[in-house]
Amino acid sequence: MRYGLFITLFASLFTASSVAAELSFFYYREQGKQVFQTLLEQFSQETGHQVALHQVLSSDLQPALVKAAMSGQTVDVVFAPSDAISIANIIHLSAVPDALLSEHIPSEQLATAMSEGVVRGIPILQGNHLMLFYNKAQVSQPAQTWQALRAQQPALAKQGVRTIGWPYSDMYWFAGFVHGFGGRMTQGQSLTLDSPAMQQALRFYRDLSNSGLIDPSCDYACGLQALIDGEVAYAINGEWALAELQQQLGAQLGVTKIPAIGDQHFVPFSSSLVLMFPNDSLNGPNGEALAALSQFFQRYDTQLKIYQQTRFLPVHQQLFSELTKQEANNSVLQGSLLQLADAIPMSAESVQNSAWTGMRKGFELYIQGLVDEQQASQFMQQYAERDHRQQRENAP
Amino acid sequence: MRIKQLRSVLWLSLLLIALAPTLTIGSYLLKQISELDQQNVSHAVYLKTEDITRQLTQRLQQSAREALSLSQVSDIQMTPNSAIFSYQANLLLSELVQHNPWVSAAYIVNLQGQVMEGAPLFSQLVDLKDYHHLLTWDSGSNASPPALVTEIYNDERFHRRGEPPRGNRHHGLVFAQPLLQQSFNSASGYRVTGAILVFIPFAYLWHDTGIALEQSQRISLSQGGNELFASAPLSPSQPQLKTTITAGWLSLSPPVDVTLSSDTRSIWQLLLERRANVVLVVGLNTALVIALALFLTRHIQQPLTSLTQVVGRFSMGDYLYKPPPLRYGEFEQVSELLSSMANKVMVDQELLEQRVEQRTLELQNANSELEATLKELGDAQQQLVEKEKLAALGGLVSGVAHELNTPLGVGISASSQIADNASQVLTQLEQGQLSKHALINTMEQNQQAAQLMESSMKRAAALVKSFKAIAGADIDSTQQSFPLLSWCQQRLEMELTTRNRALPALRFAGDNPTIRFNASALEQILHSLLENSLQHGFTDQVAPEIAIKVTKGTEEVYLEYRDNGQGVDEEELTQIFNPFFTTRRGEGNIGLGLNQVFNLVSLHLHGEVSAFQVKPQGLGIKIRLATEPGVNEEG
Repeated sequence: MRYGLFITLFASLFTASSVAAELSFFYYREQGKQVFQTLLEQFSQETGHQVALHQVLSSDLQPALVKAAMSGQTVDVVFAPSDAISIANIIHLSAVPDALLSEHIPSEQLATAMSEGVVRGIPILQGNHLMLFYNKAQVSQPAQTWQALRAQQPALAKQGVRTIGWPYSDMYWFAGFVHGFGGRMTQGQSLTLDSPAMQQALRFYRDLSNSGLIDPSCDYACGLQALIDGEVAYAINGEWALAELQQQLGAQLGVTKIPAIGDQHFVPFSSSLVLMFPNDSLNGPNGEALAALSQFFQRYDTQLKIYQQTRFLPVHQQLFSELTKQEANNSVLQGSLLQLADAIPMSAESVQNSAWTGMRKGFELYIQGLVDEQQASQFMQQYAERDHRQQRENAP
Repeated sequence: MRIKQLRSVLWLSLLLIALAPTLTIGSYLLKQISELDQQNVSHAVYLKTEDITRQLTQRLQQSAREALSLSQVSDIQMTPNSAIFSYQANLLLSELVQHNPWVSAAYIVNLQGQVMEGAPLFSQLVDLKDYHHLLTWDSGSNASPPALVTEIYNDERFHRRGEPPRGNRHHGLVFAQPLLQQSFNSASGYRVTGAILVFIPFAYLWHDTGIALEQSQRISLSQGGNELFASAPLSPSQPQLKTTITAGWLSLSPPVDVTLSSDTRSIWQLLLERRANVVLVVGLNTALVIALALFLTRHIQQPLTSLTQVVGRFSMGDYLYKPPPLRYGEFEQVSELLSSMANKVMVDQELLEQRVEQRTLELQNANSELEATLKELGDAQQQLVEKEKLAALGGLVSGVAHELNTPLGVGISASSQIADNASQVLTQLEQGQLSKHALINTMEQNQQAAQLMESSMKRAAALVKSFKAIAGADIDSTQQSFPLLSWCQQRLEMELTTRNRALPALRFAGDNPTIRFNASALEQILHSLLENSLQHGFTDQVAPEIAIKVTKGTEEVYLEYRDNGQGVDEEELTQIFNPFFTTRRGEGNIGLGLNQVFNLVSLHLHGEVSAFQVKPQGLGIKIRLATEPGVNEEG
């Protein structure tokens, strides 16, 4: 049923366009959809090209793109995190010519959209990183370290408040702990999951739940709705949730860096949010319209609107500089930027995708107590390597 | 008491008589029921086997259907090529495992047998290279989809982690559902990308049917005679019913046989299973029998009790008692007989009373006669006693008179002589005819007469003294304690030392009890007896001998004195203790020695004395001394 609808959708989107194109646009974020819809309408008014926005959940994004690619049906443009570029070979992403790239895109942001030395996406937004949110009504002095956070746990428990929440089993969050211990998921085209840092991170991560600091069954709501409802004092969530939390909690919202592990900073991933062009659509019939759309989203005013209405961070360097200056007293933004400074950009290489899957497999086995941390990290590595090998072999 | 015993015996007998046929019929019926039950059990076992087989088959088919359905999902189909789909694929596999709890593990594998996804989580750690042979399909394009591959496995790794093993065997069924991807290069045809492997341990498959087996039942799965799974160990010792149904599971070859074994039930098991009914029936039956037994017992006991009352009344002499009517003729006859007996007793009693009255009258008459006769006899006896007393007194008086007569006569004669001589002297003097010679002659005669008179008076005085000694009036009454035999020996030996004539030999024998007695009296007795033996017994005996024997009785002591003298005649034995009885009266004996012995024994020793003849010759005197406690005997 679901896939039947999906195929029908693609069939309706895949239409030829000469002058006034009809573009299909995949939008992956749960937040900001309405803003993008408005912007796309503005684009349509300006250019005459019609753009249909389709929202896809982040977990469904890559499978949907691959299935579309393998079935010969695809979308024109996808707005997604830059790590989605890792399946560029499978979904045949267009290489982005320099002419389509704004001069205001910082080189480090551009690097997040490169796979095997080729730019496969146009960065529009940046950030996408995790940070620590807290309720000022419950927390007077945010914890700087996990040890300090544990120390606050009894007092918070007396208030009937759980200490902290985040989607415990989500690898995007766990990756920050791996980084905190000095580990990396990938190095270029190599997988580096089987490492002492990974094993340390696994031990530490499980200890957090064993000590009762975090409920291992916590899902995304623990890091968002529970904070809004005052059920948790702290939450780790992404930059994408900032606007909603600010709207809900107002002045009570505090943002700061995620607690350090001893003297090791927590190092979240960051990525850019890019426009990608599957099935080499840039060079297809809608290439011209897609180029126009790319330019539209790279414009100063467009990105300013996005920031103003969603608090998503623009990649436009000038705008970003202006905003950081204008919002110097905005503690929330400053907190976010402070954390962003510690973040490392996520790789867009094809190996990253296998790394995510491998890490998740090993993590689940470890958390369930089926393997120890050493076996878990080995399993991660072996699984990811095999998958990466297989992906390359089975690439259509 | 007897009635109670009879009632118990009767009650028990009735109980046994009533229960015996009940038990016999009951056991026969139980056997019939058991046979019927056996048939029912066989049928039930068959139906249950069918049900089990159907349920097992349904579960396997459900798993196969769901695997087939999953194989048509694109996320599943593409997972062998890329882990991009693994998240969704894992969710779908997990759903399959959750929907089919008998499934131990479900995998998505590529054609090399490598695990792409597995559920539950632990299954991803299992290396499936041993199952690669199941993936026999051609990876190239096929015009028609390949079929499911099914196989029996034996692999303990497919027990779920954290769950206890179910059974000691690890056989199960694994099937491989090919994953097909439509080939875009041709209008039709498929390309095999991998497979869904589903492992179903038979233990799980059986357990999750939720079918409860009885304790004696056992389900087993076997293939070609090889047992793959059993719900319980085989117990070959018990007879079993077996039903086997061949299950064509997923085209498995050779097929699996489902066998349900059930122990045959014994009658006791049958009873146990129906114990509520059995208890009810047996209880009711027993209660009925007990009630019947009690009723009959009471029915029979009641006339017996009445009969007992009748006998009791009659035995107490109430012969006029009219027995109540009894329930049964036999008892009524007994009652009538008892009444007749009572009447007869009454008549006899009346006759007897009359006879007794008559006899009593006769006895009274006889008694009166006897009383009169007795009175006459008493009177005669009194007369005789008086006569005897008078005779004894006469003898005593005549003895005393006889003894005193001589000295007194002599004295009278001498005094008469003196008087005559004095008269004659006086006359002669007056006449002057008195000569000196005559005077001297007369004076000499007077002197002689005076002397004779003096000796006669002395003799009379001695006689009077001896008469006084007969009663022992001068005997000291002091009681003393001595060993009797030793004391007698000492007394007799001392007595003999004062004698000059030939002395008898003394012999002492018997007991020597220390008793308390009047020593003065016994000393006098021994003296008298010794004197009697010396003066009367040993006159012609050249070897006189005296023997003393003491015999201790329970309440008395006997002292026997024997000599070997000439003894006395039989008729004289009763007279020797009489006063003045002597066989030698002319020789100066007055016959008072043994009379004195009699008196001393009677008055001072409170005993008895008797005489007897000693064989071959001699006289024996037996003295019985009373030794009442605290009186004569000590120690």
